[in-house]
Amino acid sequence: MFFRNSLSLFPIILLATALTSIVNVEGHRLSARQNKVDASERLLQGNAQWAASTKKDNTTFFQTSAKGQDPKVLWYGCADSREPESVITNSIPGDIFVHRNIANQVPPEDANSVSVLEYAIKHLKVEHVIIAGHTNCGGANASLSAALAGSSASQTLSDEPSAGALNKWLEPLTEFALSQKSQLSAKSNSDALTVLVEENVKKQVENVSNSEAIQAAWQAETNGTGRAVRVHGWVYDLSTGLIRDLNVTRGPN
Amino acid sequence: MHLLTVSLVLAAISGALAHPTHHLARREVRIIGSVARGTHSAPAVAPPPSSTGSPIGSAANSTVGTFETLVKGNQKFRDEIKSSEPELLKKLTDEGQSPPFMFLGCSDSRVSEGTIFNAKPGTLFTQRNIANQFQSTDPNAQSVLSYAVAELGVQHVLVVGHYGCGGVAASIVPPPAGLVDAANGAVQSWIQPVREIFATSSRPEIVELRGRINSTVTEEPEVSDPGFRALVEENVKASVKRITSDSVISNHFTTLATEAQKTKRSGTEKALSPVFVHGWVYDIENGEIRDLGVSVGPPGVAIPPPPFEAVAAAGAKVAGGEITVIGHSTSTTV
Repeated sequence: MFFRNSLSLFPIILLATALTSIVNVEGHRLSARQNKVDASERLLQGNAQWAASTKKDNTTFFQTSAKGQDPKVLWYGCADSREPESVITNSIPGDIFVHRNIANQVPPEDANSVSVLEYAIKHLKVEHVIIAGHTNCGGANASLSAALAGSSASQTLSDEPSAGALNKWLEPLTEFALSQKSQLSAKSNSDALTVLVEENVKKQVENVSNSEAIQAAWQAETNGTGRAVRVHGWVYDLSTGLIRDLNVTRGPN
Repeated sequence: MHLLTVSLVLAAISGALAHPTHHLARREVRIIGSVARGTHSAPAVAPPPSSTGSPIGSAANSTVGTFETLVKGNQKFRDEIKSSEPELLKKLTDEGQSPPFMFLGCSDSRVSEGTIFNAKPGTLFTQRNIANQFQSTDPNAQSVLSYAVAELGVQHVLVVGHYGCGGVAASIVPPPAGLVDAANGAVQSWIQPVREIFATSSRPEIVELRGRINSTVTEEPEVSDPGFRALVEENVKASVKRITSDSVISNHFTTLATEAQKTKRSGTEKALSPVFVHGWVYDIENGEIRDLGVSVGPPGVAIPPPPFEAVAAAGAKVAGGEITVIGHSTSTTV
């Protein structure tokens, strides 16, 4: 009797399933709607939550923090949204003084990144400068492609004006890549990019080490009138989240 | 009757089967890196390192306290993200970044944008410099803007200053007397545009502060000083203005308008989305963000209303003791 009636039951089963599915789809639809909540709103909600729970967990945090900053580390990182230094080092506000730009460069004539170094070394008296590159760097990739294609250093991106900001900014990196061309062209594209990312970090360690601010700091350290200051080169692996030291740390000779 | 019972039973069964077995994880709001400040060990004097350096955290390398903290922190980050969002890093690596925001903030260690916004990797494409300045003559900041808008297609550019900004404070006190000290040259040169705002602003609090500053003043103003706070705000507004006048943005707005016309004619999907530039201030005394109400968008496009009411409501909820569960895992779309 059950089976004879099963066909007539079928539409009811279908209806019952449909009804419950709609309820669950609605549940999913609600969370999909949350996905579409304005990105700015989500960002600001994140801030409100963080501020409130920080105060709750540590009632004097903001009071102390507002009196001044005393970071021991200056971090030069890439502007890339996947390398947020405070998140990947699990550090708290107050720990790290930061400059981020495309491909974590510190060109000797760049007023922007050099003023950060000067302030950090002379005013804040940081003890470590870290150049933190990362895998899959878009800037390094652009310079690599240009170098391998034999472009001129001033025209890294062919669809941008050579006098434009991106080409101006990438020029030293492309020039550097061109100088390493034979080494880079012998490798696969992904290996070549890794090499350029690492070599760029080492180059920036050298740029920072040769700066007036660091040279003066090391002079003082050697004389016994100043604190120890070290310059380090790191690479952050985007896919694993692991930070790797390139072991190129520099101090006074 | 029999049919009804059976259908109810079947409904119940199919309901149980269709009901997702996952549940909304009740996420506690946690501060990333909530090690209390007091537990950071005092830095020890570093022995001279070898020129090839050594692994992170090894005693031979550096002041033990600092590096150990960062190494342990990185480990903690990796452990946490593996358990809370195991696919995120790989996805960002394989698919590339598509951040909704560009962030222009101060280098100040207290304004860690990832932390203060509780933002996951992949959210904020970032430039931080002294006093969060944008100048069209600075290829560093301008290249970041260019890449953000023209290549990454960010939807919002956030210029975020902060009260108690050291760069702004240094612009208020007179520069060091005598020849420009080699020790201060780069910083003094960099903050010159902020000095100009201080010298020329007609905002009453700044006028008042100017009256109090004479050539003998060397001490920087207090965080609460109204003139100092006003200058922080005016400095943000100046950078918002410069960004919107920059060719990156004006080119973008022109392209949008041209494409809109094309879209009207051909009825096809618009490729570009509008970019909005906002001016905010971070209050270091309570961790909150304030909107200066100077947002700019493309001509003819409504600026999305600032979500500060919703935020205030969320903030009130949290302050009242209920921590709202916000889904961290969902990706943002505007």
